[in-house]
Amino acid sequence: MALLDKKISFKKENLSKQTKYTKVKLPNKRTINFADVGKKKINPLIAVIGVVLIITAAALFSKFAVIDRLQQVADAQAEVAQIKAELDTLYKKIAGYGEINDLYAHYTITEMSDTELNRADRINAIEMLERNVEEKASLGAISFKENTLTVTVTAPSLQIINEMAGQINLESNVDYCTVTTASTPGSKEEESGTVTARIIIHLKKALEEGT
Amino acid sequence: MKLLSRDFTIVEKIIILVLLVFLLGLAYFQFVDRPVRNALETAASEKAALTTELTAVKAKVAQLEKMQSEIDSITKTGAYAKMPSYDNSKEVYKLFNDVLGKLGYSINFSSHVKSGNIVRWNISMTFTAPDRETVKNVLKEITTCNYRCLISDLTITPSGKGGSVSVSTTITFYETMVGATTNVGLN
Repeated sequence: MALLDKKISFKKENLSKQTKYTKVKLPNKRTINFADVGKKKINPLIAVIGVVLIITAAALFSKFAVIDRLQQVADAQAEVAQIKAELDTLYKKIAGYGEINDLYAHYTITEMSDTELNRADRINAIEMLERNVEEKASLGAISFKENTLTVTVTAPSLQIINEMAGQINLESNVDYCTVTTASTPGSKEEESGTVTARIIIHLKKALEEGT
Repeated sequence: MKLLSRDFTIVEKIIILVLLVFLLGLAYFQFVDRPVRNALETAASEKAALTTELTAVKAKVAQLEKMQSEIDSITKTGAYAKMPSYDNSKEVYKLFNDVLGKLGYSINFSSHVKSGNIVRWNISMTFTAPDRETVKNVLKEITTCNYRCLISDLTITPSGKGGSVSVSTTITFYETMVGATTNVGLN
């Protein structure tokens, strides 16, 4: 306003004062992007580092927080599937359980006592006696009490009874045997020279027979 | 970032960043973390249940194999016949009748005695036979019949008449309560 208020005079002395102009270099840029006006320029290096850091962080996050956890689920489910498959196989295996269990109940020996399981075969023992006695002597009474067999034998001599006892001892189903009594009969038979002996044979337990 | 006619201030940018992080976290929790945890928990509980079941089934398989092996062993050796279900008396009477029919005999049938699943039936008998061979045949027929039995006491005495013998014996027959239709007559 002060400039406007200033009085302009066209006096001679004022006109004679010539303004001196000097040559200046003018900017040669002829265009301007107004959108960029006021925008701060970002350093490309920092931008690249930033982008790399963001991508790395995203990758690490995806790996550990997403992929690994999903893998964990997949592993757990695979484990469950494996157990299920194993169970299926086992269930197929025990499909006939009821049948086997029923059969087992009819064949089991678990409820039999040791005495019963160890009981020696009576018929085998009688046949063993016949093999060893009947060639040389005659077989009298035979008595089984558990695994003890008591037998009365009449032989021509005590020597033969002793030999028989020796042979009996070698039998696979015999544990050991002893001649407990030997006697000759009355006066008439005495002439015939027969000896009647009682032999006690301890038979092996059923499971040990043949050993 | 310029959604408005002006740039966001630094505080606004921080708030937006925090919001974004919060939203990302929420999305992660909702779509990854929670389903994963649920799936893991489900798998773990399913695994625990299946493992318990597996242990039981494995034990059953082991028991089955043991039973099968025992059955195979018994049937292979032929040491023990099958135990029929209680009450098999009728078949045993028939057996004795067939085996001892032509011989003079006296039989004393005891009561059936149950112990666990097994039933023992002691039968004492005396009979006379023309020779020891006949006795062996009689005893063989009884012990090799289809029903499990064991001879306990046995006495064979020559009766002095042309080789004939008197026999006194006790035989135990075994039966099982498995498959039994009655328990009448059991001690």
